[in-house]
Amino acid sequence: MNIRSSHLGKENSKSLTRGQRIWERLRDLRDTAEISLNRALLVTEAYKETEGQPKILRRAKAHEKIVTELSIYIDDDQLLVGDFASKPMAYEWWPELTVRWVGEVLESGGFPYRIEPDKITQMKEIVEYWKDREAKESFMTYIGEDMRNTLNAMNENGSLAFFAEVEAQTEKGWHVPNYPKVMKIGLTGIITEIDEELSKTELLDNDSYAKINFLRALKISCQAGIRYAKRYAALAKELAEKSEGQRKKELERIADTCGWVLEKPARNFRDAMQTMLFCHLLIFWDVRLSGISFGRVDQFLYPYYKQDIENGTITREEALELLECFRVKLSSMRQFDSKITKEARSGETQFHNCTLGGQLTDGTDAVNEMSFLWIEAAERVRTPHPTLTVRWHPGLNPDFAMKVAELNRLGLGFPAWYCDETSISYLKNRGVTHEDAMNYVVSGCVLHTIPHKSASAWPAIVNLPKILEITMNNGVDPRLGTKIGLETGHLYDFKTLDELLEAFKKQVSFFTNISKSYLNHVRVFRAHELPNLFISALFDDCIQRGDGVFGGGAYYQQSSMYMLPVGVVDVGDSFAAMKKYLFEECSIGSEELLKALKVNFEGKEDLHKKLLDAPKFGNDIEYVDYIVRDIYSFLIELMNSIKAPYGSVYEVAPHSLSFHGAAGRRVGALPSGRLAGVALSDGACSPSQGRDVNGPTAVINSAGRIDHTPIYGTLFNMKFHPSALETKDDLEKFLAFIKTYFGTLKGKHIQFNVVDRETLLDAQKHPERHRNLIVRVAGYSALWVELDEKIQNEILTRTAHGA
Amino acid sequence: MEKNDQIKSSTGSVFNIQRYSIHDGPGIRTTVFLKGCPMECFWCQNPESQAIKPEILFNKSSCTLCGYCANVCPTGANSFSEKSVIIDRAKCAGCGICVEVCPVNARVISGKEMTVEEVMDLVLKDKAFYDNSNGGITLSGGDPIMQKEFALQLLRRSKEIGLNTAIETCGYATWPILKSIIEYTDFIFYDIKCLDSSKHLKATGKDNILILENAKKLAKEKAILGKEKTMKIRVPMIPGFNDSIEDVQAVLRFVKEELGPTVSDLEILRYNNLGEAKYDRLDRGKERPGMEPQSNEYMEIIKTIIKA
Ligand code: SF4
Ligand code: SF4
Repeated sequence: MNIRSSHLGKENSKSLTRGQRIWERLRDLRDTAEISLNRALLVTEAYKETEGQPKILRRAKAHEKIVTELSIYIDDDQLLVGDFASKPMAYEWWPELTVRWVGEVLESGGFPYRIEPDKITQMKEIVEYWKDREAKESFMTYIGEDMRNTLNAMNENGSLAFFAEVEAQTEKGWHVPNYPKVMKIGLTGIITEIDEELSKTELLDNDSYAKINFLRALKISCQAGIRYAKRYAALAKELAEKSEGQRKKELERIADTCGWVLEKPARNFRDAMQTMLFCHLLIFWDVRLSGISFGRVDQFLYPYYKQDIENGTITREEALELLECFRVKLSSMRQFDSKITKEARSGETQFHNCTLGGQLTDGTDAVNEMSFLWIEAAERVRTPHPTLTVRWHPGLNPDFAMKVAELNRLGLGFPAWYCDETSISYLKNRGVTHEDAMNYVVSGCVLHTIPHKSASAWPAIVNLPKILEITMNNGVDPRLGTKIGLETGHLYDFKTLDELLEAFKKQVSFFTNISKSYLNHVRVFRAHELPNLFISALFDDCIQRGDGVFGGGAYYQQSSMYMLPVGVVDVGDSFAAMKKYLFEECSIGSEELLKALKVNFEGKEDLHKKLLDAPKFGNDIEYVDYIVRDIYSFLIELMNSIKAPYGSVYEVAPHSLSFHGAAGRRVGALPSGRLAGVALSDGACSPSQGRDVNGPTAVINSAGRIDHTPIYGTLFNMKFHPSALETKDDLEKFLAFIKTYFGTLKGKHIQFNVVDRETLLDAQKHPERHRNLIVRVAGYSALWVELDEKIQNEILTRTAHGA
Repeated sequence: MEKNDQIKSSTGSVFNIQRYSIHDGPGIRTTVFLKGCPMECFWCQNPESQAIKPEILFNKSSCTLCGYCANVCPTGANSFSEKSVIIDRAKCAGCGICVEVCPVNARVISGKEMTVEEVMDLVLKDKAFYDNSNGGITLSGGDPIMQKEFALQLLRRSKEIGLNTAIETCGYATWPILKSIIEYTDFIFYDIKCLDSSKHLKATGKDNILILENAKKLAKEKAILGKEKTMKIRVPMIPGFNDSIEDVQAVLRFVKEELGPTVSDLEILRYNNLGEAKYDRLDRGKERPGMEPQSNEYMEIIKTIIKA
């Protein structure tokens, strides 16, 4: 999303809220901010100082050095302190993960970030130190040449049957640490727990050696955390002395808060918010963050808010201001990534999810005043982060639901909606207790997890349409001409669709097994070589087990490993077209089809049209919908039979991230009629681009044919034109629409993009991709592609003004 | 006769079925557009709805002159000039075969012969959405009354299933027909364009006497049938024809004085020009109304008049 387009309106700065003021200032820095070498230098220094010591202690000491020596500042106007860089909106760097790409782009001159010229030498020195020590390289050495070669033929460096590069480079998240615990007992309380465990553990063998080192490392991290907070107390005090009036009071209050937390339990709402932010930052400075989420913020913050309101120590407006400040903070975290990682992760998308609403353990509605406040804060300061997810159940407070719909209408892409029933069933089916399941949260983009109990998640990202291509060509990738799959026959060898499906399943299972074995290596390697420390202190039962969240420390391991299949719908559409024309009507020959695919339908327009006219998922047609459903059933069965590290099995979560774009670029023309290189369908059940022509209810009916309960995280994006969400009546219908998807059809997740000007412009240029786009004007609906250019332009002008 | 009708499934000509219609009555609805209209309004933005017979909408700008259409056309209605394909509208039988083969989708057929069952199957696909929103089916057009038997059967079938039913009509029909239709209709959108009968005649090809009479009778009928039926008067604002303040006030007066409190409310629709391109695609480019919607400011004025 273009951040600038999420305008705040044209109010002058006087009428802006505090959050809006800060955000206006910060977002202007987005394009000009530089790389800060602050962290990179500190971590390098720390590692040089600790040469020869046990790995885990070196890691802890590096964390300690970073948070206690990093240069800090307090932003004007802010009420919360602590930042994601040593300069506003800057990028920090984790050289211990990977540096080689930096070295390469510095050499070639294609370095895509701003940096002060005199820092380049320093940067090169950092690269030099880490280039043989970085996690990615050590991992590559560790797996050995054979596995490397196999991977390179199949991953980003070869056919791209699955992604692997990205996985090695990014740290993992998607878990929800126990911030409320720190609010309740402070880090002092956590350190006491560590000490107790240490005193119970006698050094007798390898396990106890590892455990003791782990606990000592955690303790170093936690103690450093306390000092980190106190640094802000000192800085705020210093600044307060130089300030006057209201700001002086604010700074004094900040000094008071930071002098108290994280050491001690939160006394009030302000303390609780600062605790949450500090903890998040401490994890960030340790392992960066990817999708680490906050959990049920409305539930655990409400008691503090309620108490403060009752004592009269905070007003509703002041609480809202703090939430705004929090949103701004979270939106100033940057991701310094290589181009390839950036692409796959859709730029700087972060997945710091906050979950709202849902049910209490007894099944009653959980919405409280805090739930409303989070929505209001997001409405006021329109930052992209943190993202919000609303847990839907039939008894959801209707006023709250309406508020959420109003926020959806703004077109920020959130809140997403999540269905309690199907999610809770999924979790219970995997052995989660009733109490824990009722308390589930959404982390990352769409994964349901148990806060501070479920281990982080690792996806094996599999490019299914590529595997389909390989299946049709007897194991050969037609794009590269290399044989990387099994010899299961050519397309013309198959007499029935079932035979073709059988071959496809064999190939999927073949590639998945390589991909998962690679992923298991990554996870276990990282658990040992680059353990997550601070976050493990905030996870049940890492302390007791003496193991981190990457390892076997977390209480639940369910769903920690999963397949992220990309392009399921494209494959389903392709099978449907082949079923109809190749096996039922016999009106297209397999050789003819393969030839046409090879030339991307050039000169074969009639054949292309015919394939496009075959039933497509998303149009409420059972013929193809059931094929897609069956592919999912197959994937679930396959993955659930594969063992994963630390005692669980693999799951299936088709949440695509941005992999559908990157994967699509390497896939040739498909029997569905999709052209070579075009993005694949996104998420779990979005129709392929522009192929749904029967409106949103048809899409929902198709999506509803998939069994969502056994799927872990079924991302579903839907587009609405703003004119379908104009009046309260429109929104009531929109809510009835969601109710049908969840309540009747048992879906699991849905989120809405409101069509913006950019989409309409694209639709003008590429009508074929937007055959489904409906615009409504004054009660009339029309398909965009059917409109005259002149009228399209009129609508464009209107949409620019926020329709 | 009743019985007979239920068994016999008549067919009708449908030119569009729009799901997730949210501005055509309560709840989430499916709007079924029936072809054919008794009037010929010069501003019509659905010109493909006017004739009952099927027609081809042809978008010349995307045509690649591949010639497939001419090859398959059973009546030889397509011929080639230098830069385009020309459809002989008199020869075209509306079979739609050319639409199937056109590789770039330059052709769309308006008007598909469908049975009541076929339409209902489609409509019922969204039953869950109606149930969750108290929605249902809306018949629109053209004017659905032009295919009264078909419309009646659709409405009756829908009522049997328990759907909320609505129609959008201009009211140009004999009273018995209209009465039989509204018996199965929960929500009536009734178009009143202009109170000046001669002006009405000139602009639409028909005078307004029958329309106004029927409106009064409907209002009375609604008063008898009670709460469960809703009638909403819609006034499409046509630039320079009926959008003057005096015209609007005249309609308002009529609604208040003649139809009374039984009409739930009145809706003034700003002119839309979404259908302009369709005139060209029907080879009726000369008839393009080519008008602009009223300005926001003017609509505000109209709104205050209605509120007053
Ligand atoms: S609809 Fe039938 S008759 Fe008319 S032009 Fe097309 S193919 Fe010919
Ligand atoms: S089939 Fe379509 S593209 Fe080809 S000549 Fe006819 S209208 Fe043009």
